[in-house]
Amino acid sequence: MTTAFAPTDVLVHPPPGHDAPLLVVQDLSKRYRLPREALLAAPPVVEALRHVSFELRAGRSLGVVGESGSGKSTLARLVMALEAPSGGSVTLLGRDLHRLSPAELRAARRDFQMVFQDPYGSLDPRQRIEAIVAEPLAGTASERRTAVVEALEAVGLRAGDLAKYPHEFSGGQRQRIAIARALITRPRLIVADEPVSALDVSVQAQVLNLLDDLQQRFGVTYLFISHDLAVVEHLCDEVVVMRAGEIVERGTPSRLFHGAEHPYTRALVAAVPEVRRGLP
Amino acid sequence: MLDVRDLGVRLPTAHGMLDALAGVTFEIGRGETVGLIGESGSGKSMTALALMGLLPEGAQTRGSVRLDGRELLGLPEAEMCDLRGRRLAMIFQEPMTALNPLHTVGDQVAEPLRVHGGASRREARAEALRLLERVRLPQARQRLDAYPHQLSGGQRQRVMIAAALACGPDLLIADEPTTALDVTVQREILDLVAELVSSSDMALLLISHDLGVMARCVERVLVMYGGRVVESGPTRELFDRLSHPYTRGLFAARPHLGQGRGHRLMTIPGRVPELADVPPGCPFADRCGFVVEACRAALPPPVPVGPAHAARCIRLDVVAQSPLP
Repeated sequence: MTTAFAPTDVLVHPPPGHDAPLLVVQDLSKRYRLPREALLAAPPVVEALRHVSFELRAGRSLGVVGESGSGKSTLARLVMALEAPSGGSVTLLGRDLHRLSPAELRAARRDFQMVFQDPYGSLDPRQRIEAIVAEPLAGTASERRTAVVEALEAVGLRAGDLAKYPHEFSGGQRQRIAIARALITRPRLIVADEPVSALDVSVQAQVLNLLDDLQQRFGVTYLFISHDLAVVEHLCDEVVVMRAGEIVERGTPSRLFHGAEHPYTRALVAAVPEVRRGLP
Repeated sequence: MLDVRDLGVRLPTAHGMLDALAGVTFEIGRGETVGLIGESGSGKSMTALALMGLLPEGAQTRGSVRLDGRELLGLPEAEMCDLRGRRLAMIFQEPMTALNPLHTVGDQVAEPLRVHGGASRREARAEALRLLERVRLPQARQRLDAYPHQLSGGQRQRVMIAAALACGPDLLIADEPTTALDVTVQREILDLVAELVSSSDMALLLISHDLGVMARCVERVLVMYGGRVVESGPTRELFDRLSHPYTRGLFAARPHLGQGRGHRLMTIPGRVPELADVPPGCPFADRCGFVVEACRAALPPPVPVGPAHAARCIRLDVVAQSPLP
């Protein structure tokens, strides 16, 4: 489990918490125009994201929590430059992603990758694992193969899995494959949208520990989107709470989840069913 | 009221007939709330389908399922159909797929009343409105003529519950009723179900993978793994004295609010087995840290560990001495 992910690579990354932020989201807004309801009326507009700003330092994790419709996934798509914002900017490593040319953006994509919720839907069932994991990578066939083997080993899979198809793996293993694909370009930022929500409880823990390990080893930065407050508290240094396209509260998980000020955050926390176990 | 004895289900698969359920035994009294905990493939939904007589084609059953003394296994479909909706009702995880997109909300809630109750169209509609108000669907009167896609996920789940309640069933089976919903809506739906159960003598069988949901909603819990009940007991007692290695692992694998950042989660090695891979003997043997040769010999019997609390494990004395993960 060395070479391409050797310690020297980690040293190139600045130590966590130092110097300029890795990601700066400034005044980010997104409006969607809905279909016209009447011929002469202006089409209705939904403000999916309103003036969202935050910074994220290298090697840290920011959690984004909120209910469906709160704008979390729109935020993820704009940070990933999969859609253009209506206003504001996303700056990664000093470059405004939405002002890059298509060629520049393609080159920049190696620095930021995404892991999706559904490990069944996000892997092409007709492709072998080698092709799936190598997809974001340029280079010769042998370079690509070496990198795939290293990425698979980093997530706890084996070189023997290269020629298999996604259906031969369990949900947890598929999510490891998706993480290996995200890791292969050695990105600085991984945007993870509900990465463990579709997994069985006993397998969730394996993937959460893996995400933690990868951060320790490679200094990866996470933008972690989840509705599960306990998972966010487990993995994140800071949290923003979103509602109706806006950030309504932000802070460390312990402050937010145990001394929330915004009524919406308090409602979210109060709704989490928890097991209260007596002492044996 | 409901007495399940040694229930077994065998399913035809590519590997031949395999046990999806074996030796499942439990009772539910009138008005009682019981939870089935388990991960995918544990057999919890299969148990529900067996009770409802909705098993897949070619399934073979063993044991017995009695409702007030009457055997349900092997009952002709027409008689089973009469019981469904009237005495046994079920709500599902995804109300969008369980509701018919082409029928109005009012018609779907009224349907069981017309089928089982012989109500007239007008009576059924009036009763449907009353039911929708009882599950606190906002603007129920206007929504009688709405279609499912015009409602939110939480509202659709309320409609499903209203339809399930229509004939005043004795047992409501709720299969992951809140998994697809936002956490605040989850809370509202669970509170609604709890309130409906406590205000009638309807019993509840709640199926979930979420220990927290169980702790809040049911009096008694059955933990399922590999098609077997591996631990069962009163909710409070069971959580106070987690006994089976699987139950303990499940508890330790979840991050809990308030634990903070950076600690390592305990994991259960391996994965939930497919039907064909469930080992003989203890189904958890391949993933268990306490396994000895004898575990694989035969399915361990339920060993009492507390009041009405038992676990199928032959290593409980050793397990109990190890610190809880």
